[in-house]
Amino acid sequence: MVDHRWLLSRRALLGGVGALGVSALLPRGLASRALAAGPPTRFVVVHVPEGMWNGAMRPSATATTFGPIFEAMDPFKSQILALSNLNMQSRDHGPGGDGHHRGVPHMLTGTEMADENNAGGASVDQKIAQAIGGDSKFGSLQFAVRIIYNDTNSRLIWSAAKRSVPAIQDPWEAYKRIFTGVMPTAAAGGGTTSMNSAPAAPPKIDLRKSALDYALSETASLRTRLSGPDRDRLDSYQESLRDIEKRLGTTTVSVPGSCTPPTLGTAIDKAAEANYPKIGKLQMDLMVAALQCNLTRVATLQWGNSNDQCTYSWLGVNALGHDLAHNNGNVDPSGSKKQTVFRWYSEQAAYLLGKLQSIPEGTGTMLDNTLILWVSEFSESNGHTADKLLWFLMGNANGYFKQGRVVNCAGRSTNDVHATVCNAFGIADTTFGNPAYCKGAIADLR
Amino acid sequence: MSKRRCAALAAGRLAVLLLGACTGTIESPDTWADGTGPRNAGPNGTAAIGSADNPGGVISITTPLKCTTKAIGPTPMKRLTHAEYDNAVSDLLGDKTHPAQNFPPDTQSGLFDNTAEAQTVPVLLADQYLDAAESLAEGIPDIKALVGGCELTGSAGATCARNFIDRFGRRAFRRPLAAAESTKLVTLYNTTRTASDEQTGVRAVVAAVLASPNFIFRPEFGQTGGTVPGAMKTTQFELAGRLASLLWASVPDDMLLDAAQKGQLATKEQVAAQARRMLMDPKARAATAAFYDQWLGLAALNTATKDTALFPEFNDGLRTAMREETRRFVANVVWEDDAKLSTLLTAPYSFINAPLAQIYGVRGPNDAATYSKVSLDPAQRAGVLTQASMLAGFARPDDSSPVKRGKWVRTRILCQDLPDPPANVPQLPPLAANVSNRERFAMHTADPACSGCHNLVDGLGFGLERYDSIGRIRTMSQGVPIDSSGEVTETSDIDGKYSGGPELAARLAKSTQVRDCAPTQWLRYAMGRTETSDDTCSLTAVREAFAASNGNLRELMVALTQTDAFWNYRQSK
Repeated sequence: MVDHRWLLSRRALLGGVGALGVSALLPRGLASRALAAGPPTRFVVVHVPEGMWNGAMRPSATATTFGPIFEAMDPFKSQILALSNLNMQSRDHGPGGDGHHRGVPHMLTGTEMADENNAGGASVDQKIAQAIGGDSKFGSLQFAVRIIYNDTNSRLIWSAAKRSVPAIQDPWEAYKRIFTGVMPTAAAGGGTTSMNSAPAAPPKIDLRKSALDYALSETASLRTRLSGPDRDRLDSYQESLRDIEKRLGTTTVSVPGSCTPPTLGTAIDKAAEANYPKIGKLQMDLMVAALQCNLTRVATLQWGNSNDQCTYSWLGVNALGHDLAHNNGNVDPSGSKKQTVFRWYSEQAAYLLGKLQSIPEGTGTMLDNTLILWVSEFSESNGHTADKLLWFLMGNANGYFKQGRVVNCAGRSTNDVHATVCNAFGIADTTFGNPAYCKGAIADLR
Repeated sequence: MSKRRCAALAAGRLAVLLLGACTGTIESPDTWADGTGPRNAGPNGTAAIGSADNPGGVISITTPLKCTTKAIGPTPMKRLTHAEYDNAVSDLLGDKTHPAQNFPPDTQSGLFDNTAEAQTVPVLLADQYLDAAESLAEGIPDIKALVGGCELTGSAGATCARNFIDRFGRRAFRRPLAAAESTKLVTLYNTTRTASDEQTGVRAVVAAVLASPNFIFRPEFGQTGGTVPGAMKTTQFELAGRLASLLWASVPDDMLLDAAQKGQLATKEQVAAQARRMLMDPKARAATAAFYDQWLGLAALNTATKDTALFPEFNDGLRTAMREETRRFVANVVWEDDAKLSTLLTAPYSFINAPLAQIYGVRGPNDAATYSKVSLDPAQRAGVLTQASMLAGFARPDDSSPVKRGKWVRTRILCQDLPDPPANVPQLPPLAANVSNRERFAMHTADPACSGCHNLVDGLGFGLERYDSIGRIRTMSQGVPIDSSGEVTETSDIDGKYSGGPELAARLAKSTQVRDCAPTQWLRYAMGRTETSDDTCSLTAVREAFAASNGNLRELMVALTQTDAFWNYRQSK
């Protein structure tokens, strides 16, 4: 009974054939994990702009701490795998703009861009969401903090080639979208809270639902008259409407009794730089709550743009992250401001890790059942290089990874990391992205 | 930027780039970047020109165009931009709440945010379309007024409802509803009415129409009878939709749709007459302001930061004022003054409030809320080029940036794209006493490997050195007297040395290349894509009309409606 809450969803229970059909396609590892009693494993990607750090203060394989930039993460070292010297090999190929405008669409897709404005394939989180997210309310959720440029230097997540998935930037909007109608009712015992997404007395006419039905049928008839890229764009709407329709069908979500949506407080301006830390924290809280409540299993968080337009005024930095990266106008001759910024992002990682660790789950904590891929697009930001990237894998996806280490990846492709992560979630593929830039999973991470 | 790359650019993009001069490495990426999105060059200079969506290649700005083969480029299906969505629901329902302001932002590519190819509908946006449809429908204050005053109850109720559906649907879809579409909405109305009441029935119809792909997108199919090979003729209702999108950033009004219905958008004269009527409407001002905002890059101000020790007065209030100044100035030139491009580029007046009066060193209003038209010293200021919005938006935090400002002129005013900056470039030396900002940049790009490409921008920016990082006039830089000599290079008709902003502005104002560039930017905006060589005839026609009107920016908008691109439809492949 105690584990009833982790059985997969009403749809899986009611439509058992479909659910089993899916699981039958999954490699044994995941299928057994997913259907076995126990918390689901979640996947999170966090992007920080302008690289993380380059040089002597990077985590060293022999040291007992992560060093001065990343020391905030030290308490979680046993749950962290630092991956150094990764190479985003695909970025050197195909169309696209400069390192910012190529790095972001390439980072999680690992293949040539379709054109100057679009990635050429699905990002790793979306691929994993396809595999594990199908029965949760949201296939995946995207969060961001203060995106300034809405071009390829912010477009990180792609459901397919040329299909950008935007992130929600306003925590209050996010709350409404994720938790509206999801009202905790009295615990039904066994630590289970039933969250009923249909209000007790539904209004007689649901205008939103009737508009959705109408739009779907119109889309179907219009579709037959279109072709090529016009039809593709219409299809993006149709697929989105279907996704929403499916979600409306999920009337009851079984969630852990501890599931509590965060309290956001009074709305503040999401675009104001002074609110950046506050908005970021709220977005992390919402993300963790959505994962904890099993409303989604895949989430991403983007901090700003690749071409970093934050001046970190609350840290006393007062210079654009992008200017720091290049030391433009000599804003940061010693690099100390850049260090301050990167340290601050490490503290955000620590906050997220601490939050996950504070939530008991199964025999451990939520952190045990989560994998966070912490990424940035540059190894050295002034040069816009991406051949010696430092990334992190945090949490260990139910023991899949051998954490607590710094691994020198010696130029392995970032696609190899994605392939490894896909394997961890039961996707049996031997490559990720364009196979030309992938040698397969990195054995040493396990 | 390797020589190899510039060589590749030479082969691939010679129309746009000035390869002769661009044979070396480009300067610091940051100084290049202005956040306007990826440019068209690939890492090896291979993109854009033979790519699938640009098979014909790009059109040269410096080579005279000749319309020899009738053709048009593709007509990708457009989605409403968020601005269009807000305007459309305002026109349809009177709603002024701007529901689209919370939508995930429209994608920028190139200078503009209306690139058709990028206009997908991800789940987040679809969710918000449904939210907005629902809340707009629920928020209709007066159903009876919306349906035109007829009674929804009683014996004439059914007719009242059907008439409303046909009229509302026609406006939202920019064409009459097909019989089956009308029937479907009547069925929705009746079902809802039965379950609830007539008012709710109307609300359900409104919500459904606002969520329909026929409202959110603007699908076009054309008709037979065109004269452009490989293309169809635009239908009259499609022309109405295009006019409304271009001139109002919204849906057509009933007058325009009636004209289409009566077959009165059959000739170019009829369409021009409608365009002129529409330009008289205040809706045209707001809609076209969006073009100028993007063309002139006002968004750069949003993220421009300044060294607070050097420029303590630069704050959000001043930012807003700078943006407001340029908007008021552009609106005045286009709608009140003579609408000439040359006036936009050279007018020695502007609209300032109290903080801006400090920047310009003139007497102005006493408060920040009041903007007054003031004359500026023509030896110091001339048109948009020397306005604080541009000078501060395209500058460094600590000083001016000849590179950013030069790039602004080269790409936006002269229509010559620059290749992407390379990685691993040397940093700009710090500010130092007795080394002017100009010398600082000159040292930075002295390397022959750098100067090739830099000559394309630096000569245009050095002439603006008399303006500091927030647009004030200065006489000294780091203890060294200002040298504001510059040189225009690689243009078709205005090459040569000059000194100072007003002289550069005057030079630009008399240039044929500049006069040909404004139609190029407008056509990109109107088409929602970059031009291809298939657009040669349309572009030629707009340029000729613009020249014939002595560079009248209002006539330019009318000219756009007279082109083969406007009158024809070619399916995207």
